[in-house]
Amino acid sequence: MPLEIMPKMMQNIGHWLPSYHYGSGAWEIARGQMPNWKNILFLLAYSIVIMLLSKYIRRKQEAV
Amino acid sequence: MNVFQMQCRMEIKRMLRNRYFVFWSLAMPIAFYYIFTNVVNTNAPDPAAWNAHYLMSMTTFSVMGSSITRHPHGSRTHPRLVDVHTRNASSRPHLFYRSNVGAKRHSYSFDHSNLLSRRLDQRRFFIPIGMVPVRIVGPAWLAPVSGDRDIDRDDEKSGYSSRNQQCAVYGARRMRRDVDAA
Repeated sequence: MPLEIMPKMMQNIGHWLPSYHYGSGAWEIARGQMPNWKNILFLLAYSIVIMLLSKYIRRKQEAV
Repeated sequence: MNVFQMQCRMEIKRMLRNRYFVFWSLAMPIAFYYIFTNVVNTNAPDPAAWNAHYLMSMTTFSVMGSSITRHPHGSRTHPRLVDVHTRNASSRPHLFYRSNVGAKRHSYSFDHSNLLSRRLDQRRFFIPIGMVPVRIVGPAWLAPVSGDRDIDRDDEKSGYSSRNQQCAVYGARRMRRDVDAA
């Protein structure tokens, strides 16, 4: 579903998801522009958080 | 057939046999693209730009979906090596795979040895095969290093240590007797 036809609330949530920032790079390229730095930073931040989280979960699994 | 071609063929088969992939990462994005570019009018100011934009949306959806669901080794849909059959010491091994898709269990077998052992006989490096349970990423002496722990664990469950598996792939001549017993 395109984000534009969603209700305003859902749009606000969508702007914070990593998938929006991931897709945004492709949208900019399709438009003939460079991907925005903000998106890249957003994805980097997400990947760091998720990496730490997975490390934590993995350690918990091994302890059992 | 050349190894690369064979690898591509097996990868395509592996993908198309995965029903989750075919539905969520191929059929659904294509259907949505069709609906929002051809059926529903979205009142976009520039239809061509909108189509390109939405094509990218669906592409990222598909890529992200398949990257999440098709986890290389942990996934239940991923084929596992379950059995190795050889008729006698000089015959080539036939490898049997099993993958679960939903409640159904698919088994299929594939004879790697034609392309692998020939390469090994020629003492050349060879391309690892995409059917990942038998994952060779280097020469035999590197196998303990390059072997994946998750695979080892799966194979222990199904009765094969990774070393047996590696031996099996390298051709019957290097195969251990205990694999033969199965």
